[in-house]
Amino acid sequence: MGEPILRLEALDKSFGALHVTRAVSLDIRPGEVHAIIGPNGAGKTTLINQITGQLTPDAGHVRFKGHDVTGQSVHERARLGLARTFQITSVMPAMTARDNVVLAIVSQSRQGFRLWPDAQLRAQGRAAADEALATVGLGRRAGVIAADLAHGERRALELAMALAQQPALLLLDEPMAGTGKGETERLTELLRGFKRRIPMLLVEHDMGAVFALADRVSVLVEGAIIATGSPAEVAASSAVKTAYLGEDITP
Amino acid sequence: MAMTAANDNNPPPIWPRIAASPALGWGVIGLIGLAMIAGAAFGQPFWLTMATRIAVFAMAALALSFVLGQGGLVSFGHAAYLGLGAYAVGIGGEHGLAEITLLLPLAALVGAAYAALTGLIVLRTRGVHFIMITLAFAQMAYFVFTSLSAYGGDDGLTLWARPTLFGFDVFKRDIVLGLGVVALLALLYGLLTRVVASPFGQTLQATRQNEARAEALGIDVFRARLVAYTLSGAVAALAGAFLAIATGFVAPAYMHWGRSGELIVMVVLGGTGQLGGALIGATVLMLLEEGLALVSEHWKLWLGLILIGLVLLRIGAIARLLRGGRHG
Ligand SMILES: Nc1ncnc2c1ncn2[C@@H]1O[C@H](COP(=O)(O)OP(=O)(O)OP(=O)(O)O)[C@@H](O)[C@H]1O
Ligand SMILES: [Mg+2]
Repeated sequence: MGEPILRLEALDKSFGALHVTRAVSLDIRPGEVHAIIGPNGAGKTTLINQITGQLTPDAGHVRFKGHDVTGQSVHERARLGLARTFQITSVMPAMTARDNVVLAIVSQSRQGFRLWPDAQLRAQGRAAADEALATVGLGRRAGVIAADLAHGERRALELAMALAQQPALLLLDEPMAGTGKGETERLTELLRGFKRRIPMLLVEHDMGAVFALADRVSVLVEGAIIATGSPAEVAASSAVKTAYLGEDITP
Repeated sequence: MAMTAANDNNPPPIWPRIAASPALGWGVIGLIGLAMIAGAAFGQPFWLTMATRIAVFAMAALALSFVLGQGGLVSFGHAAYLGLGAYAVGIGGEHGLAEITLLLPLAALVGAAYAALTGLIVLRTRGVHFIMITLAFAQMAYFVFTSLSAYGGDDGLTLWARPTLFGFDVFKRDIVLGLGVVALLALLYGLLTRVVASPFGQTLQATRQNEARAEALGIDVFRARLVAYTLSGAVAALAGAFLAIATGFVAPAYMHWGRSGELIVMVVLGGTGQLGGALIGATVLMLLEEGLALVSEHWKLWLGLILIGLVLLRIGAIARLLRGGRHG
């Protein structure tokens, strides 16, 4: 399957006395969707933040596309092709949906420090942005200020921004959280369309989505990965059942 | 990181969005120029002096608005750049440098250099810390020039002659100087408005609205702020250069923190969303100061009360700005 796109080597992180990441090793192969499931407070978001560089691990290494990026900043990793969505939707509230995506495109193509407007660049950016917005179902909402979008629309916008970054790896922190059932299904279909093309690390509580999308699932409990395998293997694992204390994790 | 979208939806209802269009900025610049011409034509030197001062401070407020309004960086030390630009002219003059085409670039360079150097430190902080540390660096400059006895120290420095333009002594006529300031103000306003509309302008606004998202998009937030801060320092120093030329005098008082506060009031008064707001705010504040001084010897008290009233109207906008949300 080739060199993994992302490799975590024995990551460790504590907040004071709280040990939130315990010797986490994990890799994501090219084209793979790797889901991470685990109870609230297990340390899933903290793990993502160490991958993006928002948090620095106390020990261990993050290798992305073969580079050790452990010491690199968030924007450096983003430029290498690491894109993410946040658990709490995070967009530019005062910009239109279109300008949000244009910003992602312009930053990705490293034009974001040009001090002079460029009509051609702008037109290209807008066209690409409108295309990305149409992909996530926001084609008609391009001109709306992001703060005025509905919650689900903002989630979709954030996804459009991440996709516009042309990511080498997409980190999704509970993309289905707070969206309705129909929306979850639409989003799952949308992500399935990018399967094989964009490797993803998917943190998600919605087991339907996990089973529909993931090639492998890792189970994170109290900061440690207790099982990794195909969705069916993980669902059958007794250790996982114990950890979830009777919660049914089959879809 | 998290958005408080619901609260960012409503523009403040009380204060109309007077500065919503760049045309208003051009209108203000045009009026300032007209006031100068009228002052010269009708033999009212005071109008001319006043309009020139307004143009100078409008330029400084414009510089501050760029970092404060667009970048969300509430600098409480912008008077330092005014003073540095003024001293560039004053000290340059002491050493026989009297050509404006050299003095202005020198002033801009000094302002940019101080902004870039201090920016490396101040831009690592945010919020109240940023306000305090910009103030601290301005006070540092203030005290350095206070103790610089070779250049007048506390008492300041008198400029014995106005600079020349390509060797010609055109600025000895007040109207030429005044219109020169207006011309530079127009040029800088035009340039900065373009920068705001440029990819960098979007990048800068992004760093204000949502720093975590900006970083995640690959934006070097620190570098974006440093570029903006340096640009702003250069523009504010240009205003300082003209302040020195127009008053024929340079003193550490130009760097006083009260002056920095005044610049913030100008920017906030006129609205932070558009650069043109700074021009309006500067004009309104300076006319208020002047007008109140005419009618009452307790004018500072009245000014304070009026400002408190106006700022109360704007407080929603300030709060949003500090939160990184949408402009009011
Ligand atoms: N910056 C921080 N400082 C201190 N403790 C933190 C910090 N961030 C997270 N924690 C704690 O670390 C633990 C793991 O948090 P994290 O957000 O990673 O969990 P999670 O698996 O994403 O949970 P959820 O499913 O609720 O999103 C929690 O107990 C949380 O309170
Ligand atoms: Mg989480």
